[in-house]
Amino acid sequence: MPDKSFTGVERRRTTRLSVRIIDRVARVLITVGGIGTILAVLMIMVFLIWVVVPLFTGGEIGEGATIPRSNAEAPLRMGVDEYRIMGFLLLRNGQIRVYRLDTGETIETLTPFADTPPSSAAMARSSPEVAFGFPDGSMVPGRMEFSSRFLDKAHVPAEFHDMKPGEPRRFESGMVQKTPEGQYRIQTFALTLEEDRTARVEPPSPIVRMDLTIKPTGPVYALLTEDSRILIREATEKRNLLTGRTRVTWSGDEIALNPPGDRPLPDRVLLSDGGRFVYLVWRDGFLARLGRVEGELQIVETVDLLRDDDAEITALSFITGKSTFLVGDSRGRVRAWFPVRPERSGTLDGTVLTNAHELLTEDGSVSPVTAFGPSSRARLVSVGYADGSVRLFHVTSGKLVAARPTALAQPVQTIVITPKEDGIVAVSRREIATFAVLAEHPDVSIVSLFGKVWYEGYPEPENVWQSTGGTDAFEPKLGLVPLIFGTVKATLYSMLFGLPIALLAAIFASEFLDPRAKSMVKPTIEIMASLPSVVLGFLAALVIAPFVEDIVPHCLTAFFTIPISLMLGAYVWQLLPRPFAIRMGRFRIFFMFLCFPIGLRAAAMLGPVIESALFAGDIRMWLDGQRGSAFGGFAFLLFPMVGVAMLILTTRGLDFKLIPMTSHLDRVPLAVFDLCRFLVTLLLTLILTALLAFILTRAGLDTRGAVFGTYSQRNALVVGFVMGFAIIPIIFTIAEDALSAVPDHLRSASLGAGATPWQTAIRIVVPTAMSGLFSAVMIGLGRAVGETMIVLMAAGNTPIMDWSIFSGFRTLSANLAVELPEAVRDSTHYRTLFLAALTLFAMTFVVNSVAEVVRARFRRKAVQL
Amino acid sequence: MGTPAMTVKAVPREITMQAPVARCADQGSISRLASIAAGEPFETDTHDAIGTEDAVLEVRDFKLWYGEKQALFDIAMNIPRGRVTALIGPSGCGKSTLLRSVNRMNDLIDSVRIDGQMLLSGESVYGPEVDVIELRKRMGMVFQKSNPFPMSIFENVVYPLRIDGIRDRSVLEEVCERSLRGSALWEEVKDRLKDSALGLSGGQQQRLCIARAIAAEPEVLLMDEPCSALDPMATGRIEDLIHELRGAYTVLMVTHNMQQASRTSDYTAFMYLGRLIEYGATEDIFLNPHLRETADYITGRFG
Repeated sequence: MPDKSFTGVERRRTTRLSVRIIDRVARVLITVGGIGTILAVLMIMVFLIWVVVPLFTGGEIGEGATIPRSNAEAPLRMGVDEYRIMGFLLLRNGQIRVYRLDTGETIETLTPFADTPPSSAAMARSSPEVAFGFPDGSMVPGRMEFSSRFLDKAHVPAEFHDMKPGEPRRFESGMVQKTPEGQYRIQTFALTLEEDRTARVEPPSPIVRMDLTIKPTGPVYALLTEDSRILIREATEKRNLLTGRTRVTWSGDEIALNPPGDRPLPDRVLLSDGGRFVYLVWRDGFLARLGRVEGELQIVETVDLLRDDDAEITALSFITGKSTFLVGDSRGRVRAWFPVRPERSGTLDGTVLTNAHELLTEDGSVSPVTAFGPSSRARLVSVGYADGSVRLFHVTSGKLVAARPTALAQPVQTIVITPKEDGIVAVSRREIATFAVLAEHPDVSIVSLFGKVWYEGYPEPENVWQSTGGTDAFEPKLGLVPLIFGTVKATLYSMLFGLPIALLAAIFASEFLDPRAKSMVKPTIEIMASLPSVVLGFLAALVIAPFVEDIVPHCLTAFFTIPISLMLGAYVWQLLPRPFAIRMGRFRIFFMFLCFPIGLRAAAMLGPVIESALFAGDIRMWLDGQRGSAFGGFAFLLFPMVGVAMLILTTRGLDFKLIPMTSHLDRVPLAVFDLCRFLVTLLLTLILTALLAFILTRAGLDTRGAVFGTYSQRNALVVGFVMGFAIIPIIFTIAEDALSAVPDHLRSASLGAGATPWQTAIRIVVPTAMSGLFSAVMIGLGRAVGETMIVLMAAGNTPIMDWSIFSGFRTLSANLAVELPEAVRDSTHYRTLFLAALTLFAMTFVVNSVAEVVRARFRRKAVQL
Repeated sequence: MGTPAMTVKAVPREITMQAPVARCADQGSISRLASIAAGEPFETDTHDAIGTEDAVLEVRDFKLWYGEKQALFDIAMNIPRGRVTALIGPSGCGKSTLLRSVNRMNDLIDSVRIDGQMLLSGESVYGPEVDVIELRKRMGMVFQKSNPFPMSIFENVVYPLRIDGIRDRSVLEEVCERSLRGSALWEEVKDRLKDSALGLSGGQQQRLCIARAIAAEPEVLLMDEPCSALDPMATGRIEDLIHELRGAYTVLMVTHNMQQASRTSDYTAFMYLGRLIEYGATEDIFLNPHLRETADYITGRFG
């Protein structure tokens, strides 16, 4: 019947609605998924940037609140409480005026030494200790501090009940603030003199200058008397655990000052951290450093702090930690000095004062520096100038954090930073001005993060990552370069180990291995990839690292004996009679495996021999540079390079001269000839290596300090080896897939033309699969860059910059894993860690982008296949 | 895995045996085809003309199995030197298998087993002492689908010399030009030898593959349906080329195209179900076949 269809089924000519709906839904889902993925990655980046950006926003000194001041005299000291509501001024006559910061109203005036004003005074920066020196040669220590306590609700006057939180009110001899929780906190100032600890200068002479510093055992005082003596008084406090009473014993030193060139008494006396040095400073810039040499206090160094004659020192102060001091001069320059211990110092105690930083004004103004107000927490310092301007510097980074050019009308007499670093109080003859300060991350700049920074006590600027330290005065050193270096080093050494193995294994599996064997080998290696890296790291740290430590020379030797034994095995295989070789061809892989134990055995035997011959019998001591010559290191490094060069030379050049000579030979003699040629090449390589190593050693070069260095148990060798295990499966799998995807008709064409399988693999298959191989390498690289657990556990986490294969390192990722859980939220450290994460992100992003571009180029070439 | 050369993996080609479809009225023919299908022995009808030629390749009682399945039965034929010999027959008759046996490409398939002998210029092809790589260097092969390497035209042509380690630029250039002239491609590509071979058209690519094959100076040039993937224009050019190669090279060619066989070859062998049915001068096979089956196939009555 003509109207009946051929198959008997009437086909609908319209697409069913459900099919259309599913199609639409699938399209939407896929689009949402794709865009969502891109968005998620972008969001992560945006979040990282959002956390990092505040690091680079500068500081600000806000509008000042000025109160008039009656006493025009420059105060000896000034202090502000931590809530910025009250302050005190210590005047020259020994009077202490405590006042409200907002109104200037005097809360109380203390006159502890009404009859005998002190001739000098000293105050510690980060603790309440204070000391006064008197004309009669006595010195009274004491404590001067703000203290706060909460008022009992019953004692709170009724009119305080309607106080707004934060609003300060005077109450008795202090100031009351209502906290957001509704409590009343009273802030008072107290001076306690410890008269029972009074020390006296014998014979009596007025104490004209003094300084004090706090050691864990007790305070140390440096006193300068009018008759030119320097006295060090060290109080050692011992607490009796039974009675609870503290017993103080005094010890000390004394020298008669005999400054060079008939100088008058020094203008300032500074006692550095722990009483290590006494600095005597004259206004013209001359400094004499007193230190102990063999227990004897003496002048160990003299320095001209200014280096030009017409300027003079107008301000001088330690910053926190009392190691670095700032010198401000009449030309508006601020210089930071600290003692360093270089290799060659030229001083008696091996220490040299170094001018590490110069803090420059933003506009080049040259108004004399008049006051320093260092922070008690960080290396932040407020600087007052004669023109009434106020600036905020960070000493280590040398960064001008903020500036206020016309803060005061008169020259700044005294300046302080509030304890929380949220304000500056500056005093001139007529006024006391309080400025709010915003300086969240003053120590951070692009230069400090990615460049060399001259940290306190370092002989030169360096890249350092050291985020936490033992003492309060410790300065976090947040240089990312050592971490980036560690990441690059980990990647380099693991790729150096893993890449050749993975790629050669992929070529072997795809081109030479029996398909049945491959179907077992490949999944096995892929299972390796799923091995958790924490397990690998655990193995590396607790098994491999201690094991390798004992057999370093054997391990090094194995790197050469295994490849050589494999090559030797190949030559010996050629010696076998042809029918036998052809028949046994399928078992060749087992013969290849035989070469491994042979190579290992050879390494075990040769290791000690090589250690005694090249590394002076003890490789660890050789690596320390304690013994032996550089010859061994060069021999080891050059051997593979010379070997490869010889190989290229013989195959490219020499062989073609030899081929006509040998072409008439039979199989076995030819194999013997080949074997001999290999052995001769090996021998020549050894000789050439020795020769080159000898020449380089004679030239005075050494590999120690570069590729080799002091052995640490957790090192790049172990990490490279174990991380190789993490990246080999990934690279292998992807590379093998890429190679197997090369169309068989290309292999047939090549083999049909008479090429060997190896020629086919290298000339045809590998170039065709290049884009896939490149992806494999890049994915391996990305894994190595981001790998965390293995490096965390096996790399020792020492953020040092050293290419040595035997030293540890710290990578960006391991650093994040270690430090981020402990970082205080929104602190500089926290944000810097996020910057480290962003850097890691950028590194992998760049690697992947480059990979994609290169891959696309390769693909275009192969796309027509 | 056998000899070193056999360690390359390859996907086994599936061989499908077609059931004989004879629409011929001649009863004898049907019964003979049926007896072949039943596996009874069959005597090849080899024309006397073959015996007058100098054989470059002698195939003697050659049998081949793919696993348990026998694909070639007692093939005996001599390939005359300097002539074009065409293998014709329906799909699955073993033409390509026979061709690929000559340069031992079948070694790449694990399940292949052979029996019998082949002699190339008097030397055994399947002897235990034979190095497959060296054997293949003596032959050139052109495949059904053009398979230029993803590199420049020049490098494609001189590939056989490259793998022999020849680096002398002047030698390479001379061979390249001669081979390309030999495959009638020179005029078209002489200005873009450095360009990728993948940019050529299908016909040009196949001629490039022929140039690559003759650059190796082969004793036998094996062609496995060289024109099956080409349009009539390109096919015409390749056919002309094969015609021109006569004398200089021995060509053994598999083709499905009867006209092509008659146009280009000197000798034609007709195969059916793994047997060589009739083998003789092309003119005789096409005009005066001895066997009824051959006549039926050539006239398109079956196959």
